[in-house]
Amino acid sequence: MILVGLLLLVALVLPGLPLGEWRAFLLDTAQFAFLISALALAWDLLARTGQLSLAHGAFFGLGAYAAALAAPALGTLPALLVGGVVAGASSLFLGLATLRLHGMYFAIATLAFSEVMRTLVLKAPFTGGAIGLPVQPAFGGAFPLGGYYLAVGVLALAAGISLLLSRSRLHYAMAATRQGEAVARVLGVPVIRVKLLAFMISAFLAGLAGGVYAMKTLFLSPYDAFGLGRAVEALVIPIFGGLYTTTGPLLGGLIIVSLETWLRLRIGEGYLVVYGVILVLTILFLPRGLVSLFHRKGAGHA
Amino acid sequence: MRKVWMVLLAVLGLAGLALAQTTVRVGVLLPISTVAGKAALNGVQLGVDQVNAGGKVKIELVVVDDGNAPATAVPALTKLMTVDRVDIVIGGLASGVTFALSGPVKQYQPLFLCIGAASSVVEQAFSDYNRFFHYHPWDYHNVAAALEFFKYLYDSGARRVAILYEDGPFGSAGIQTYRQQLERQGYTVQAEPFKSGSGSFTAILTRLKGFRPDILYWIGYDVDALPIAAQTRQVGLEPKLIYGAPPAWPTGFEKNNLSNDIAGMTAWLPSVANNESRRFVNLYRRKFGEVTDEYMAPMGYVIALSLGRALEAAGSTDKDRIAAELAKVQMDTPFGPLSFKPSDTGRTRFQGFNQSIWLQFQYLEGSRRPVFPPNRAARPLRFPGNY
Repeated sequence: MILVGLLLLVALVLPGLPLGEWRAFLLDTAQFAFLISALALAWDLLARTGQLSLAHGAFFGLGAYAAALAAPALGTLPALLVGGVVAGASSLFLGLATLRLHGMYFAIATLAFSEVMRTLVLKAPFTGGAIGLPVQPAFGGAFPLGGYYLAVGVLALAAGISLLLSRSRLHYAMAATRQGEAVARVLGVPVIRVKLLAFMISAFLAGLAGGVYAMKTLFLSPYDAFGLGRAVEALVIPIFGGLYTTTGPLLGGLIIVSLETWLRLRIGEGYLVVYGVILVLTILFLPRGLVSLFHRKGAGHA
Repeated sequence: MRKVWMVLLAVLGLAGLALAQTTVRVGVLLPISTVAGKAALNGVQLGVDQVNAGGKVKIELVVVDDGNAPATAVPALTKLMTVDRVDIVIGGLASGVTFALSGPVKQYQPLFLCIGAASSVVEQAFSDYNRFFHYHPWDYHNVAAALEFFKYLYDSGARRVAILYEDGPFGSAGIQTYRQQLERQGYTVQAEPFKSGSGSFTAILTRLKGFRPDILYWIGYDVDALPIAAQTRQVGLEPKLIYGAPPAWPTGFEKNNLSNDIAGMTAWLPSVANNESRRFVNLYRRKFGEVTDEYMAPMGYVIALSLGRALEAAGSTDKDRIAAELAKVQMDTPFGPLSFKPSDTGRTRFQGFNQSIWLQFQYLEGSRRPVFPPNRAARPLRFPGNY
């Protein structure tokens, strides 16, 4: 909790710090890191029910496209909300059809959903199709730090919801569902409803992050917005940072994006090899993620 | 004593030369993990070596990987502009990434020398930016070049075209335009989508047998080249020409007998017979120990050489003076003559190459040979081909 608060505080004051010539670069990198961390937190919320989703890249993309299409008519903030709602609503339909599936079967169903969404966006007449869709910047570009603070806001919202959930009755219901659905049912947990709720909150947050991403990159193409790489990133980060926690995905996202950026700048070609080795070693020696380091030292609960 | 004076004079001369030399740092923003990106970087480095060897100007490169993704490219450009403090950027290979760069480019106002990004969407995005020099032809130039070849094939007796296009953005982006344009030329067209990398085309190819196409035109990726070549023969489709349009052909494809008589389009081949091309091939072989087929390599080389000329003429590191001189550059390149004019739509002011650099080639006896347009053909087109 303290670490989460500290990280968010740093995110908030970062533009005011004396960063010198690195300021603009760090703010740009941080903005993408915040959005990816928010996506990872969103993925982790669903993972707490024991479901492994490969649809979060699609929710991110749906949010991005919906926000991009709505922004000219509604303005930035309502458009972002539309993005979140569209992603959340699509998760409701997907969840109703698939949340009775478990493990690998659910993962395959969500992967298929991603492919269907990508194809629909590719073929729809109003999305720009394969050519892509130009997006207007946040607040029409009137506030240079507008996009940055939107990313901080989405990250804070994701972290806040994650912390709230981990202190609510729903947390126990989600943990019980993850550890054994049959037992959870016997204990009176409405398993499907719990999973559906987690899925919708999770997709809503992913959609919000996608909307801010679109307003930063100013251009969307179905292959970028719905890329499987992003879905994989969303699940690698919580595993790296620590599953079923708030600190894990938050810290994991910030470290992974920073590490990747640093390696790319320092090593150039072949940086992915080093990056991959570090990921493998971390998962081998810290199977419970980075947060296990804090637990070992008796730090506060994540 | 005389020797001492001579040495002193030589040292002073060299120092004076160094002082007179215009040195400029140039940012290079490319997807260096991709084949095309690496080729482009090699070309830029080779060109910079040539410029620096001339001794009048000195270019220092700051190379950054754009990751072929907007989320990586935008911070990378920001770093080039604010940390490395470059005023000139060479980059913009993929259209989507280049579009994403349009915002930060307009914010930081560098001289942006764009190596690729053929999509007209990019042309629109940079329409109000006067420090944008686009070397690669636009997508409408690509279409025009391909259609010119199809007109020639129509005059040679071809009437029916079967188009196989991959269902992603690359294959399906211009498919309707192509279809309409071919029909306008008098062709009967049947188009079928496929999933790139599936390796199985027999079902579609068998269905096309009833259509009896004269030309089998496929738009996909390198992985599709060999299965299409093999299975076209397997089902006995017997088109008069197989024409492929992948962004890159498979490495070593020319060594496979199945590639024989297959045609395609490129902007450059090592066998292109002009002095600049031969010079480029020799220099490339000397520096990298191999010959490349990737036309992005000479494209990068041309950008570096043209920038060197502009720097020399400007005699200054001021980006606007360099841009003004670059706008006047006229030079021979491996692609043919280069000079900057407003784009055909009038949206951008400085467009380098157009459809004239595209050439059609055919795999003949183990290598790619230019076969069209006739003035650049090394061999006559084998039509009908033997498949």
